[in-house]
Amino acid sequence: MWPNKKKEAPQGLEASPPTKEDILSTLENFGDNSEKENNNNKAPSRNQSQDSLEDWEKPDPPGASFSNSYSAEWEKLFKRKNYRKQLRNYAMNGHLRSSRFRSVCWKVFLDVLPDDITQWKLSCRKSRSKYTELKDRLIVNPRKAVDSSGSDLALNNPLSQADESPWNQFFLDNELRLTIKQDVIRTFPEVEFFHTAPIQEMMIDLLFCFCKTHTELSYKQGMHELLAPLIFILHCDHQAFLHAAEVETLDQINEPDRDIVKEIMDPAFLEHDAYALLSQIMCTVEPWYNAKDLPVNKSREKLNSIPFARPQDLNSSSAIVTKLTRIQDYILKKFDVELHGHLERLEIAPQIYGIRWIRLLFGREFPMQDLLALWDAIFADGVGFELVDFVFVAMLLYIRDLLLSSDYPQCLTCLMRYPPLADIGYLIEKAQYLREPNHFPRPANYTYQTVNNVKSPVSHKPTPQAGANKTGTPQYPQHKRGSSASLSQVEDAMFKQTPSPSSMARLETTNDRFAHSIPYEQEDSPMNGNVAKFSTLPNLKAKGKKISKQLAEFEHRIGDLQGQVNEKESMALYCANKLDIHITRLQSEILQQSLENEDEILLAIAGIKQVRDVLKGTLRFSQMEEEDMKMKENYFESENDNSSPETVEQHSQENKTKPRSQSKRSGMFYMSSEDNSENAESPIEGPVPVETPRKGSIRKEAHVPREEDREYELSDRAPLGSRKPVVGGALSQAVDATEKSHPLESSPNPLYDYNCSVDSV
Amino acid sequence: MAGNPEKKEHLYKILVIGELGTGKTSIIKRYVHQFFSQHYRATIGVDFALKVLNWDADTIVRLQLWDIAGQERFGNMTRVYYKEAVGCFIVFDVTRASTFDAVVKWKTDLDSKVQLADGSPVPCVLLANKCDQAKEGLVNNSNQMDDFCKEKGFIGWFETSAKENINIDDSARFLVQRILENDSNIKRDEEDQDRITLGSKQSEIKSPKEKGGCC
Repeated sequence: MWPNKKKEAPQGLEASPPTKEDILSTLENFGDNSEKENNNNKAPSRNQSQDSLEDWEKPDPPGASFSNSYSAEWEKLFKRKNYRKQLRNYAMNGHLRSSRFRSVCWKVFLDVLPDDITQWKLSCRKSRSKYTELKDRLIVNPRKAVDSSGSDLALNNPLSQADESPWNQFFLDNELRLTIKQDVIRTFPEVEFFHTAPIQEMMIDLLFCFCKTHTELSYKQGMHELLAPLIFILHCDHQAFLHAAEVETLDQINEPDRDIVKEIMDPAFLEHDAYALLSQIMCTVEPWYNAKDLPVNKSREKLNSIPFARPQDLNSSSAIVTKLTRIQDYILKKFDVELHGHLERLEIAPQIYGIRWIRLLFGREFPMQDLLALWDAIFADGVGFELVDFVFVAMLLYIRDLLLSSDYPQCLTCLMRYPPLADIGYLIEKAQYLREPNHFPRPANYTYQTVNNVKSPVSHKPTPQAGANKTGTPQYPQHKRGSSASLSQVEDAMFKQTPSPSSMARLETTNDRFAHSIPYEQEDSPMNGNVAKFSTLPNLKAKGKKISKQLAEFEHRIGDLQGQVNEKESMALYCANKLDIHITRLQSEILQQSLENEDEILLAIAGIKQVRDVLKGTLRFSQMEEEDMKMKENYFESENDNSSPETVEQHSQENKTKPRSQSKRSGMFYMSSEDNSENAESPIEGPVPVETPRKGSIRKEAHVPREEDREYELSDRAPLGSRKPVVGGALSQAVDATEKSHPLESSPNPLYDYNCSVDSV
Repeated sequence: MAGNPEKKEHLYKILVIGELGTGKTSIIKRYVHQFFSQHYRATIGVDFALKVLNWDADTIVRLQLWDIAGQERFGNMTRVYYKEAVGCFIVFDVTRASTFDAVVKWKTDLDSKVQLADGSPVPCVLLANKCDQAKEGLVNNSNQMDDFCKEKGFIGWFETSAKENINIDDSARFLVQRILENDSNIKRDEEDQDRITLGSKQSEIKSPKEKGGCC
C-alpha cells in the first residue's frame, strides 16, 4: 500500500536541503491500514507540510500508542523483534519516504550496520576510523612529506621525474581528481545542495579514496551520481537529528539507545558514512561499470543466480551487456512479446538506453524523491539489487503503448527521457509482481497515456535551460516537425508540443530517400499503421490459457484505441491553435488595410472561427451542422448560378425538407451533406481538410461507397481564400506527394481541392 | 509523377565523440536548442538528439545526433553506438592538451568499428572546442592542424565554442555537405550515372581543405 501517493509528490526538494523548520513543520503520519501501523515521518520540504497536516490530524489507528516524536519513530523502526523484516516491508511499500532514519535503514539493508543494534556503535566507529585512515594515507600532500621526513630533496621536488617522487604521485593523483571533479561539479545541476564547495570537495575526496582502493575499476562516470543521493539522505537525517537534539525529544530515547543514535547520527561523519554506503553499493554495481571484463562475482551469490541465462550469454564480454540482454530478451519477452518484437524490429539494443538506467540505478529517470523511494525498495530487497532488472522491465511496460506507437527516433527519445511517472510505488509493485507473479497481487495495467502528457504542455512550454530533460515534460522528437520550417517561431514551438503521431509507416518514410515531408500526411499515416496493427491484434494463438490474458489484450486494444482518439483530439487542438494564429494575423492585416469588402472578409473569418471552435470542442459539431443546413438552403436560393448542376440538384432536394430561416450572411463556409451527419460523433475529424482524395478513399474503406453520393460545395469564397494560408501549403504538398495521383486530381482548381479534403474526412 | 520537383529527405546518424568533459553535450545542445549552459550532467552511456535542416529548397536533412559518453571509449559498447553512422564529430578541449592526444584514439576506435556502405571511412570533422578560452598545444598552429587532419584522415577541423556559439552551425553544415556528397556518390554508383545534375554539382564543391582551417 502506498498511502497518499499524490500528496507525496516530490516537490520542492530539489530546491534546497531541508532546514530544521521544514522538518519540524512537516512531521506527518501515514495511515497504514494494511499493517495497522503508524509511521512517523519527516517531509523534507515546506510544500508538503500543508498536505500532510490532514493526515496528521487523523486519529492514530487503534493500537498505536506513540506520537510522532523522534524517539517514537526510532522505536517503531528498530525496537521490534523482527525489525529487519519490518524495515523491509516499510521500504518496499514506500513508508520510508519521510523517515528521519532513512540513512540508518539503508545502512541496515546494505550491511553497513550489523543486525544486532548493540553492535552498531562499535561497527560505526570501526568503519569510520577505517575511512579516516584511508584518507590520510591516500590523499598525499608532498609538502607534508618534505616537512616530516626531510627526505632526499633530489627526489622530493616538484620537478623530479623519478617514479618514486611523492610529487610524481601527487601529479598523477591530481589528474584523477580533476577527472572526478569534472563530473562532481556537474552533479544534479538542479539541486543546489550539491553546488556548494564543501560538498563538492567532500565528494571528490570520497570518490578519489574509493578509486585508489579499487584500482582495477578506478573512477567511472556515474559513480558520482550514486554517491550524491547518499550524501543527501545522510545530510537530511543529520538535520533531523540535530533538530531533535535541540528540542530535546532525543532524551525520550532510552539510555543505551540514545547513545547509539547520537553516535550513528553524528554529522561530523557524513563523509565516512557515505563512503561506507557507497562501497557496499559498488560491490554489487561494480560489474555493471566494468565494461571490459567478464563478470567476476565477488561474494554476492545472488548475481550468480541468473535464472534465464543461456550459456552463450554468459560468454558475453561484459557483465552489463549480459545483464541488459537478459532483461530485454528474457524478462521483457516473457511478459510482453509484442513490445520485445517492436524493440527488436527497430534494432534498439538495451545498451543504448539501459546503460544509464542500470549504472545510475535509475538516478536520472526520476525526480530525487521518487528515486529515494525506489532505492529504499532496491536496497531493502537484497544486496544483489535483483529488483533492478524487474524495475527495468516494469518501466518498459509502463510506456509500452507509447513505444509501440513510436518510430525509432521517438522510441529512443522517450527511452532516454523517461516520461513523468505518477507514482513510483506502482513500479515497485509491478517489479515485485514480475519477479514473483504468484506471490504478489497483479497491479493494474497502468500505461503512460500520451494524451494527458501531450495536452498539458501546450499551456506551459518547456523552458530551455539546464537540466531541462529532468523537468518531466515529454519531449517529442523535433524532426517530427516536418516541413514546418516555413512557419513562424510561435507555430514552431507549438508544433513541438503537438503529439506527433507515429507509426512504423512513418519510419519507412524517413528511411526512404525520396520521402516526402508533409506533416499532414504524417498526421494521418498512423491510422494506416494502427489499422494494420489492429488487424493483427486479436491473435488467437497468443491468447493462451487464461482469461486474464484476454483481458489484458482487450486492455491493450482499448489503450491503443484511446491513443488514436487522443491523437485525433490533439490534432484537432493543434489545427485549432494554428487557425487561431492565422485568424489573428488575417484580422489585423485586414483591419489595417481597411478594404472595401471588409465585411465579407470579416464574416468569412467569423466562419473560420466557428470551425476553430468546433476543433477546440467549444462549439458542438452537430450544432454547427444544423446551422449549415439552413445556411446552405438560403445560399442556394440566392446564388444558384454559382454552383454546379449536381449540387443544385441535391440541394433542391434538401430544400424540400428543411425550413429556411437564416440569412446567407451568417458567415458559414463549411458545408456538408446529410451523409456527413454520421460523423457527428467525431466532430474533430470533420473539418480537417488534409487528405488527398486517393489516400482518403483508400484509407477509410467504409467511406468509399458513399463517395459518389456525397456532394460538397462552397457557399462562400472568402473562407476558401483564407483557408489557403492555413493549410494551403501542406495541402498542395500533399497533393504533390500523391505521386500516383492523376494530374487532373491535383489540379489547381480550389473547388476540387476542397472537395477532396472534405471527402476524405 | 506530379509536376513539382520532389522534396528529398535524408536521415543521417552523426556521432559526437571525444574525451570526458570536452563539451560534446554542450555542442549538441547549442546546435539543436540554440542555448548554452554550464550545467550539463556527465553523459552516461549515450544520449540522443534530433535536428532538422532545411538544406535547400528541395532537400530536408534529419540528423540524429548521438552524444556518446567520453568514458565509453574504454568500454566495448561503442560498436553498438557507432552502428550505421554516416558522419562524426570528434571533439577535444583546447584548454586540455590531453584531450587532443586522445583524438587519434577515438578516430582509430571509430574507423575500426564502422564504415560507410561502400567501405570508406566515416567522414569525420575535428572540433577544437572551448576556443573562447586559452589554448594549449597544437591547436595554436593552424597549419600544423591542417597537416594533422590530412594525415589522420579528418575531412576538416573547426575551432568551436558552444558557449559563444562559434562555428557550431558551420562545422555541422560542412559535415552534412560531405555526407550528402558521399550519399549521392554512392547513389550515383548504384544508379549508374542516373543523376547527371547532382554529379556535376559535386565536382564543383570539392575542396574541403580551404574550409578546413577556418576561424
